[in-house]
Amino acid sequence: MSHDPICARFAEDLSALLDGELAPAREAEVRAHLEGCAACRDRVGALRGVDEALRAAAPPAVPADLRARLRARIEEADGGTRAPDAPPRVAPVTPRRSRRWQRSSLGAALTAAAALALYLTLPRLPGPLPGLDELPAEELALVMELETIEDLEVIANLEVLELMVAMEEGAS
Amino acid sequence: MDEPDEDVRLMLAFSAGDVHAFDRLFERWSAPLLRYLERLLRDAASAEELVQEVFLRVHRARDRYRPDARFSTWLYRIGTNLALNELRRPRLRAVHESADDPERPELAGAVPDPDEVVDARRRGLAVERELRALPERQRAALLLSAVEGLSYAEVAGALEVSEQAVKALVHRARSTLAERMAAGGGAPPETAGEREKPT
Repeated sequence: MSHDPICARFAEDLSALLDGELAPAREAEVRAHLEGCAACRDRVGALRGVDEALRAAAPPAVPADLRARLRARIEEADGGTRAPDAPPRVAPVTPRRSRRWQRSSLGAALTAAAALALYLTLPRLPGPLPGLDELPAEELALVMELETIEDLEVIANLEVLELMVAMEEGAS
Repeated sequence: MDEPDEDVRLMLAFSAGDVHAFDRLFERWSAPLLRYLERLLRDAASAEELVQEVFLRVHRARDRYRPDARFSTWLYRIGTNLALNELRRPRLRAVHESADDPERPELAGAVPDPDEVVDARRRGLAVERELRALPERQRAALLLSAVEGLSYAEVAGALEVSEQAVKALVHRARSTLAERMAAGGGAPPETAGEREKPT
């Protein structure tokens, strides 16, 4: 590599020349210098070789499920403001969100899984259900707003769950 | 240049409620963004996560989007900021000092003769290794300029630095790679000093 002080003046511009980023007057100056300087011509060749090597690499394939993963994250972001590692809380689930979940195959799978989990884990209800007026106000609001029970992670209180099952069975 | 920005048009359509426009933007930009972020982060899994994060932010921004720059500049800015933040976390430095991926890179284009294949592969591995060793901003500037084809002005917008800084970053990055590849045995081929006029 040339350490000629004249060439040093052009060093940074050799790169910019490759990128087409020189003003016309400066580009003309650089090209004129290159016509008379083999060291700088070699330098440009080496820099161009770097670009060629960089561009020759095969790009990574976009995973087929990336769009679906993004969609899930968008749904999750739209569905609530809970931070990912915050403890679960009983949160109202809006009917619109429930219907979107039901339409998706993931929502249908969750619905089926939730139904199965309920069947397997709930004890037979021994007697009269807790009255609605015995529920804390927050849980009552949850019961009245929910259309489906597929989002198990939202349910923190088993009594509320039992009540909803009873309400669904009563409605069918 | 006065070319209409198709991506701005799509983003504005998305802001107006056209969800398919968002899908089109993902189709157009997920691959270049992944290509850029994978080499910037030096990790494929993190790059995939960050591509999602970028588009999540694009999605969130639909109500307040104002086209004051090219859409791609904005996209690369979001991605670069997220990546540089990620790179500053200590665990990534420890995990990703690793060596070449023997699966990459591969040649694009016509079938060359065997000696050329070996030379090119050696150069390809060398450039990836040396690229990983560059300071982050130099790596980002060079990738955006030389691979993604952004102008210095656009790179400046993506990196949030001046154009003069971009020129210096690109120059240093390329020079370092050229010197290290020459020193490391992956010497670039002899080429004429100037061929085509750069566009």
